[in-house]
Amino acid sequence: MELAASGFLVLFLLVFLRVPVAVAMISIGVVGFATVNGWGPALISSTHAMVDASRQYSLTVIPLFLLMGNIIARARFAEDLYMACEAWIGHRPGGLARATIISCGAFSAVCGSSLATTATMSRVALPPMRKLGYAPSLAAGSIAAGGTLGILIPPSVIMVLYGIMTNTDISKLFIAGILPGLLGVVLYVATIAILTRLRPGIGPPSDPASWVRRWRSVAAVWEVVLLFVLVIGGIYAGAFTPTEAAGVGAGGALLAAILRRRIKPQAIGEAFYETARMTAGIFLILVGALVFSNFLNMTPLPSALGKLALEFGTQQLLIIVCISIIYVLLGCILDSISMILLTIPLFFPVVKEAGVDPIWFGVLVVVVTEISLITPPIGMNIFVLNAAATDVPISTIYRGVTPFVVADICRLGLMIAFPAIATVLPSLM
Amino acid sequence: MVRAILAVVGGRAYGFLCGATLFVLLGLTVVDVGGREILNRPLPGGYEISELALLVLFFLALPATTFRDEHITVTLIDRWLSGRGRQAVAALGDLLALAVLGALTPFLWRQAEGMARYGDVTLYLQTETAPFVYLAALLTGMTTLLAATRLVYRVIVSTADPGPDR
Repeated sequence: MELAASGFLVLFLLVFLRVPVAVAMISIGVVGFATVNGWGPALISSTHAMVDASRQYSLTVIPLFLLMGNIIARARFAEDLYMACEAWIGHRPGGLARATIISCGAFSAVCGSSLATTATMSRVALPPMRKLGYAPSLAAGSIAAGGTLGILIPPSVIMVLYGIMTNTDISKLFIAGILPGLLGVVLYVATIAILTRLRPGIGPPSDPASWVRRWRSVAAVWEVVLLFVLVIGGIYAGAFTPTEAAGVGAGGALLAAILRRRIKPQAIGEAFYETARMTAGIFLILVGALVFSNFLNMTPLPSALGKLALEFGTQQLLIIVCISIIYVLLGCILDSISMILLTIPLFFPVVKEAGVDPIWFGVLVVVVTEISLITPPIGMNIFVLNAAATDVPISTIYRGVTPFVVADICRLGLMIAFPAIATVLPSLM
Repeated sequence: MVRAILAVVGGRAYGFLCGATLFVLLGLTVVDVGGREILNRPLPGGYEISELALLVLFFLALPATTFRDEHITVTLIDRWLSGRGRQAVAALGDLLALAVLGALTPFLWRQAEGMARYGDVTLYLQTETAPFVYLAALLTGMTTLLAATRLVYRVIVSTADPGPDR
């Protein structure tokens, strides 16, 4: 048990000392495994993990969905989405912040990463809000919070990884994320409505757009809507597997960008190369998580957790609350992908033993991870936003995200009280 | 030698190679779906080619991700460190990457040798898999060399005399 504990301790220390998360996981995994079984078996099992993980067909979905998001971001479709939302609701109090949340939700529907959504939307949505005199806290808070929708609203890279690690149907996980994602949008928009009612000066309304402009802005986003319908509708109807849907989505995004002349050949090349490098980064973390969990399996930790599950097996709520707290704390030191890959092999057997629905748990894990992305003092989205808007002090962003964290905690409570929010759609498939 | 590898990995041609592999993966999936949905005939062995393309994509992009310092890293500590301090701390990551990838490379090569010896082939197309794992070993070795180069660079930067006016 001490070995597992010291493994975790050194891992966190290395990660804190700026060692790439994947490298830290592989190093500790190999050394830990070697301590129990010798260097030869440790290195052989690690190379097998490396080769086997990287040629798993189900993982094809990751580069393809990343490519779809990268192409759409480069083809400036996010701007169109934002303009459409702004044209319809910008004239309401806090309208631009509401438009930010809704366009983040829409952008998430074609992009699987929170950090990419935050980075893209801060470029698109921050300048208009500043121009109109929005309070920096509301502007920054709405972008950081809206960005978290990227990992919940399908397609989602994290859900793919969760599905692969737990043998849970990825299609069902994607569909299960839709309603909690929409609930997130509704709660965030409600938060903005409450904030602007209490202090109207923080989000002044813009001039109402003409009806012609409104309908034109809708016509400008039809490709993105069609892509979402094709990808998620195809999965829901059972026409496509997630991998096929990802292929159709990436191919469709490329075609739409070329036909609309929104992307230059050089930018296409950059999108492909960047996607390849992002894939290598994510796969190496996956390899790291496998090597690290091979090591943990050599220690008494999994059986100790199993015993704990038997002891508290009937107290599902207690287990879920404990796991949620651990995730929010871990979010202070790890990024969302590493966090999920590292912990799922440990937690999943426990919750399964307790009789928790794996699909509901998958969505819950993603929602809790979302919260950790914007929880002060340390949340990755806060830092992405801080890097994109260097003149907004980090304390302002903290102040701005706090009401949205409260909204997220309400959503978590609703999901625990009414599990059907996540399970009803997949049960209809 | 190292300089030549750096030029290759940093160059456009290498980016094109990675992008082209991803394009093959995308093409395979699109053709497979199109064939299945429209002509009711999926691409024969498409599944296996995609798996091998995925393996090549990962190992091919690994040196580039490492060289460009794009692995997911938690940079909390940066705010408390000076530029030189950051380089010194980052050198620890390079040292570990160098050690662990350097140790894995010969074992990957041995795994490829084992696969070649047993004539490991894919199920449907009977494609030999050993050459792909040999390639994986070579590219992991290249990543190790790049990590070593970064380490040397960082040590030089972090120990260099900052000059009188800094």
